[in-house]
Amino acid sequence: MLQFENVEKIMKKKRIIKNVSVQINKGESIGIVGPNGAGKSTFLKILASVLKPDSGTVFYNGVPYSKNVQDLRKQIGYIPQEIALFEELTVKDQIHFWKKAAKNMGSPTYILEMLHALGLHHVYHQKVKALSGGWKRKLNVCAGMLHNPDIILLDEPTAGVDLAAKDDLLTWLKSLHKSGKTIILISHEWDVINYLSDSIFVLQNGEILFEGPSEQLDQFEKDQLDLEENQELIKILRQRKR
Amino acid sequence: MGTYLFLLNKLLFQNKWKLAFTILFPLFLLTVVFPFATSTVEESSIPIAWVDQEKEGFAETIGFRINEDPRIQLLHVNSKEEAIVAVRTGKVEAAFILDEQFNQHIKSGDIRKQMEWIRTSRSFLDTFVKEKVAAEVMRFALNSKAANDLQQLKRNEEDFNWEVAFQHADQYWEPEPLFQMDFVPSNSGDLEQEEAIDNLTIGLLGFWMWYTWIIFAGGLLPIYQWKEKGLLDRIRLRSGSIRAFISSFYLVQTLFYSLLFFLLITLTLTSLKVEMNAVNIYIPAFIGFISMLLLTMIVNLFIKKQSVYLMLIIIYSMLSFVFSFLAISSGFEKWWSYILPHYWFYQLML
Ligand SMILES: Nc1ncnc2c1ncn2[C@@H]1O[C@H](COP(=O)(O)OP(=O)(O)OP(=O)(O)O)[C@@H](O)[C@H]1O
Ligand SMILES: [Mg+2]
Repeated sequence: MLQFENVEKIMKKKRIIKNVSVQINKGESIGIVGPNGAGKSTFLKILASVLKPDSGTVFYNGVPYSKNVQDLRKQIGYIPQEIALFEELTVKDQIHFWKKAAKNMGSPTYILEMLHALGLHHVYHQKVKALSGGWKRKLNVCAGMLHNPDIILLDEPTAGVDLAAKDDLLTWLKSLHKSGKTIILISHEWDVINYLSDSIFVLQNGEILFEGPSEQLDQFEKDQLDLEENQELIKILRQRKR
Repeated sequence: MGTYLFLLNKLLFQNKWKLAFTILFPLFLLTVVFPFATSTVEESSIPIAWVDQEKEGFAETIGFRINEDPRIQLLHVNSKEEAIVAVRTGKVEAAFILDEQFNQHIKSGDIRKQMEWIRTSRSFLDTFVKEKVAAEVMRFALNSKAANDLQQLKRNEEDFNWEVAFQHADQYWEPEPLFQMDFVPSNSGDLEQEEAIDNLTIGLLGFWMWYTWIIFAGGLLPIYQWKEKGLLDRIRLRSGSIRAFISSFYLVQTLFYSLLFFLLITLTLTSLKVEMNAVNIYIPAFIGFISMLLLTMIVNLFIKKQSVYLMLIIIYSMLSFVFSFLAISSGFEKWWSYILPHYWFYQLML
């Protein structure tokens, strides 16, 4: 459904994404892992059509983004790593705004369900700037998904969220996945990846070194990684068994 | 569009303190600081110390008549010493001390050394008072002289009344002195005064334009923060484009600051009682202001770094205000004056 073909992204004369070709199918749930600065967020932004690649093509249902980006944007829900919210608004006004800004909206039942899954009804009348970091992150997720998208892209949605809320959020995402939605998620937390993702992308220095189910990671580590060269990555991968 | 206007109204006018300050600061300048700084001769009265020990007759009448002039404010003191202190400390511009037997001496035609005039080198406006006092004294002295002469002539007649003779002589002073110099009023004097008001007005209107400019430029800063936080990307993803959002933002800001600017202009014109045709001010102001808004928005759109944008606007607006004023008031013109919004405003107005 989504496809990268020889995609390159250069920023400040640095190659951030290096010749990446990859395919994501409808209904998949993919977890992206990799060290800081690997290019995970940049990869997701290109997928979300926030950034344009410098060369190569991204396809949606076989058609390049440049031809059908408006269709794609209706189907995609992108949750950025940064908190992209208007701090001066209340949670209520914020949700109202993002609902109206979108051309297509989710059904009222869907929105209510999401608010409860995230617990946002507890802080409904508070101003965003008065919320704690965890609450902001949850609202950040909510704001990107009000239109009930079929493809959900999440950049570290659980960072700073308390364990109870994290559990609610993951349960809800899992249920969305079960109902057939495609989920692509970046996380530094293995429990999140293990719970949600059927397939894993390992990114390092702008390259996808591995794609496949987590069971194959042992083999990949043994065959492809050099103890000296990939020290950092090996440390990250070994964390998953803790 | 409606959604954006709703949002922007909530976003931009949330901070009530900032909003109040934006509007109250110029009003404060206009109502408190400004009138004080420009209080002119006509508006303030000249304080004068006055020593009159007799407190009756001519002396009292002169004091009364002098004090009737709204430009003069008499401060009655009891002795010469007190008067000197008042002059030294700057409490009064000058002091006038009437002789202890002022009434009797004037009546007998002895006008020499009847009045002492105390002033300092800083005294300036008191000469005007002196002329006025002298005129009043002269009036009494001449009337007395006339009555005295008449008394001398008719000294044998029983029914001669000195008072009646004095009153008769006084008729020559009312309602206007009989031998008053007839100054023909000239229009050129009025013209000069009108121009003086204009320079002041121009400076002030230019200042308001500069003030609105700076806070308008500050009002455009949220764009940088929204971009930084990924809010613009988010809006682009959700609604397909940020064009409507950005235009709503500029529109709301333009309306708000135009309102502020024209309010300030109107208040200034009314408080200065400018005689000039208002259309001759409002249309140039509108043109200058709109070009200022457009230029600022263009800089805001195309300069990616907030600090560079701010620096540019501050330097540009200062240059515009100061150089245009110099150009207008002293003919200091350069070809590049035409890139300054203030210059268009001034050029079109004059
Ligand atoms: N706007 C930008 N301009 C220049 N360089 C950038 C920009 N955005 C990202 N980079 C660089 O691109 C590289 C990859 O950044 P990216 O945010 O994609 O990493 P990441 O894998 O998401 O890291 P993290 O785990 O810290 O979120 C980094 O070296 C970063 O410095
Ligand atoms: Mg990242």
